[in-house]
Order: sequence, then structure tokens, then C-alpha cells
Amino acid sequence: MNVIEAEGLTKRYVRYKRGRKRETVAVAGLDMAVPSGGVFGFLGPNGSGKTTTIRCLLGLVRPTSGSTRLLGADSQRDLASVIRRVGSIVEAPALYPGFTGRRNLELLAGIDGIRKDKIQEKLELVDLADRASDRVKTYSLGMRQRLGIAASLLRDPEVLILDEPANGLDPAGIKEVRDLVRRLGAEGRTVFVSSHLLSEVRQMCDEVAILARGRCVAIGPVEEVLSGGARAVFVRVDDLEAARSVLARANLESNPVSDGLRVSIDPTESARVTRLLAADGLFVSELRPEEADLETVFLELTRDHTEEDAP
Amino acid sequence: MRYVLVELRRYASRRAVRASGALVLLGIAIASVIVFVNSKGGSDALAEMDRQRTEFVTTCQEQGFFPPDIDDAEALCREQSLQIARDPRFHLETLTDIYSGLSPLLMILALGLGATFIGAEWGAGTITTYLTWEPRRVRAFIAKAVGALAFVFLAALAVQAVLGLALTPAGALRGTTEGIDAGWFVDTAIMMLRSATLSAIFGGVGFALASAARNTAASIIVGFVYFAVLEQILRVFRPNWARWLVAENAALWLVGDEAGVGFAQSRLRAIVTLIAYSVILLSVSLALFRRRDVT
Repeated sequence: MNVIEAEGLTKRYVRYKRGRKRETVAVAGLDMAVPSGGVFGFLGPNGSGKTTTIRCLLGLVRPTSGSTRLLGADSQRDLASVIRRVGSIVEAPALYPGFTGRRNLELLAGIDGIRKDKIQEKLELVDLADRASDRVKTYSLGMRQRLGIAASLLRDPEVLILDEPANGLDPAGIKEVRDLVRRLGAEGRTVFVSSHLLSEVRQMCDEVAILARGRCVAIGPVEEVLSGGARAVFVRVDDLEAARSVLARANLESNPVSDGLRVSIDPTESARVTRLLAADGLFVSELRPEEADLETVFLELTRDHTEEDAP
Repeated sequence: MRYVLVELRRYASRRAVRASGALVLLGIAIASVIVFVNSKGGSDALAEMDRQRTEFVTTCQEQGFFPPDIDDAEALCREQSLQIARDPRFHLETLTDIYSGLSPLLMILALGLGATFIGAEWGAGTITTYLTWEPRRVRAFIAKAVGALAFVFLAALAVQAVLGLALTPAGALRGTTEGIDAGWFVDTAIMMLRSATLSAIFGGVGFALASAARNTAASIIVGFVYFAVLEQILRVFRPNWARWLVAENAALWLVGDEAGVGFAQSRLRAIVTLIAYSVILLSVSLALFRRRDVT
């Protein structure tokens, strides 16, 4: 079952500046489905439409066209029926800076009549129990982020939507949030995390959707999306020049890299490379798929998309 | 109801509310001390008052302050003497008038509080968090508005009650409690309720303006411009519209015909007019809240 769905989601913002109408397309026909369970990354550069999509999902913004569904409920019409099963943070956690961390949680818990022991439990979960009586304005960014996560967990939600949870955090804070998200995902919840940080998504997520200019350009398991960009193998041989000429005769492109060759071939056809080289007495001491990192994949996908969009 | 209770707890925790409350309490303490010190209920003070009045009446008659052809010039002199040599005692009975005079201040404070209750939420972005807990916007808005109105109403009652208690020693120990009877208690309680009702209406207006503007300051500026400028202009250039002005209706609601607004209108009509203004503004604000994106 898909817990989050977007179908043809489009959001245009219209603003008037000096009498002129200005239209910004934040999301352009986004189609996406997020399966139940695990950590799902929603990756895209700043301004690609991640936050707008999340706002549409949570009923904060009305789509210009298309629809979003959360736990099967239409976000614009039936959200109230499922909202108790959803926890979320949109952009930075919005908390009352003059109130203590505990007071912030108590006020939210009061909406649903959640017991006070649950508040303590969540504060301990995010390691904030010792600072719960301090005003939020004295918290570091990481602590605020953790308090926001604690607030979103008060209802023990099945689905957790976190918008850039690592934004503005120092490395230690990023690690804390990453570990927490992983833990929550491992508990059987669906954690939907948006990020513009490739490394974060790679380390945190099981599946990923890549967003560029308001459209989903790739979706699937992180490793699958990653291997989608691996179209080469690294080969280590003693005589690089001889190896290059052997491969060239077989119409295989190769380029010297560090102390080996980068051969443009699908990794599943690696045997062909070893066969060709061995036939000429060149023995391979190392061969491995040259995995494109997520950054390369991301840039390739978004470049392709940009080229498609070009007039 | 649970939502409204949450809002009441939130408002009570606000620093702006606590600071305003502390300032009001400080003002009440200072005022009650001044009244206590200035109230002189001893026999010497009363004898001095009688002496001054008698002296004034004598001078008034001898020097002919009023033309001799006026009937009962002596009575007029005596009446005048009450102003010249005022009773040095604090009359607890005047508390009703004090509440009436305090109302404009409470109304201004209520406008600001109503505005900050929702304006601060937009400023801090917490409205987004709230809507991810309660996405039904009509319900969310009504809970917040009812919470704000209830808070302002109760706060206005509390301020008046505290003021009454703070002034009681001055009346009981150094002044007079003449005229305090069951009827007075009823009249005073009604005045407190009238004043608190006006405060709630003004709180609603502040809330509606701040919600529409998504900003506290904008709401207070609009309120100030309306009351300090627009109503003044209308009063001068459109005197026939006076029955629709907020200040006139508020005065009528508080003190009835004694308000001297220059036209005949019932208290009921005055309060209905004011409630209608508040409801219209809140409805427009709700419609905008429902329709607009929360970004």
C-alpha cells in the first residue's frame, strides 16, 4: 500500500509586482508514490518544489491542479480523518520560543488529549529530557530540530514527514538526527524525509525520489537509482596503453584514471573486458563496477530533465 | 472545548500577556495606594471641609456671585461649594464610575491582546504546526477566536475585580462606604460585565484584523488609524453617521443616555451594532483563513 501519493500535482504561485503578474511554477505535474515502511528520501536542490509538495500533502497549500493522498485520504478533503496517524515538520520546526520545550509539547498534546507521560517519553527519545524546562529560544538548532521531531512523534504516527531535518545542523547534530530517523524507520514507520543533501539521503534512506524543477525524475531503491548511473567499470592492468588499444579494437571506450582504466561498459558485461584483455596476454589485477555516486546520478538526471525542458 | 482550553492555556503562558498583566497590577497597586493616602475620613478633615463650604457660601452671597434676580441664589452657592471644597473621603460607591472610566483603557488593551494572540502565531510560524494537528481550518480558527475572546473577557473581569478589592481598604478604612447596598452590588456587577463584553468585542476586532493581515502590528495600526483618525473625521463631516460609530455605541452601551452622544438609541441596539461589526470582521477573516495558502 502506498502511504503517500501525488498525481499530476501542480502548484503555481501568482504574485503581482509593480502591477505585473508574475507566475512561479513550484511543482509541475509531479507523480510519485511512497510505499509503506522504511525511510523514503525526497531529494532535490533548493527551489525544486520539495517543501511545496509537503505543504500540499499536509493541506497547507492548495494545488493548482492534480492531487495528493496521505494514507489513502485526499489531502484537500479528508485529511482530518488520517491526520492523527501523521507526524510532520514543515521547514524549521515552528515552536514558541518563549515557552519551555515541555510547555510546547504540552500545548500540542492538549489538542489530542495526549497524556503527560507520553511527553516525557518523547523528550527522552530525542534526548531532551534534561533541557525540557528551558525556554526554546535557548536551544541550539539541533535541539530545536529534535524537539520538533518529539512533537511530531507525540501521536505515535505511522507516517512521519520531515522537511530538511538536517538543515543548519552541525555534523554532530546531523548524525543525531540521522540516527533517530533510521531508528524510527526501523520501527516500522514510514519516514518521508526531504533533503537537498545527497550524502544524507544515501546514508539515511531505503528509497528515494529525485525532484527537479517540480518533477520527479527518478524514483526507486537508493541502490537501484545509484546503479542507474553506473555505466563503467574500473580495470587495473600493468600495461595501460596496450589495454586501451585492445579495448578500442573492440569498440570499447576507455580512459586512464589514477592507476587504471575507466571502461565504458555496463558492469554486467565485465566478463567481456577480462576475456578481451586476457586474449592479448593482459591480465587484470582488479576489476570493479565504477559506481556513480548519487551526486553524479542526480546531476545526470537533472541535466537530462533540463535538456528536455529546453525549447 | 478542549481546543479552546488549550488556547486559553497558551494565551496565559504568553510573555506579552504576563507582562501586560504585571503592568496592570502595578498600575492598580499604585492607584490604590494614592487613593488610600489621599482619602481623609477623619473628623478633622470633615470639619475643615464644612468650614470651607460655609465660608464659600458666605462669600458667594456677600459678593453676589449670582445675580440677585436669580431665585434661590443661596442654593446655587451651596451647590457650587460642593465643588470648591470637595469631600476628602474616598467613596467606594464611585467604583461603578471608575469601572466605566476604565473601560476605554481595557478596550485598547483588549484590541492589542486579541491581535497578538493570532499575530504572534503567524510571526513564529506556529500556525503551520497547529494546522498539521488540526487541518480543519474553520474549527482551528473558531477555537482560537473563541479562546481569545474568552480570555479577554475573563481578563477584563479579573482586572476590575482586583481593582475593586484594591480600592476597598481606602473606602472602608479612610473613606466611606455610604451607598453600598445590594442595589449597588448589582449595578456594579452589571457595569463590570458591560465593560468585559466591550473588551471581548474589541479583542475580536483585534484578532480578526491580525488574522487577515497575518501580523500584529498591522492590526494595531489599522485600529489606531480608525479610532484616532477616521472616526474623528466622520464625527465632524458626517454627524448623521454618529449612530454607526464604534465610540458612540460603546459609550451608549456603558452608560446609556448619560453618554450624551446626541442621538437617541437603545443600549441593546448599541451592543448589537458592535457585535455585528466584530462578527463581520471575524467572518471575513475566517473566509481568508480558509482560502489562503499557509506558506
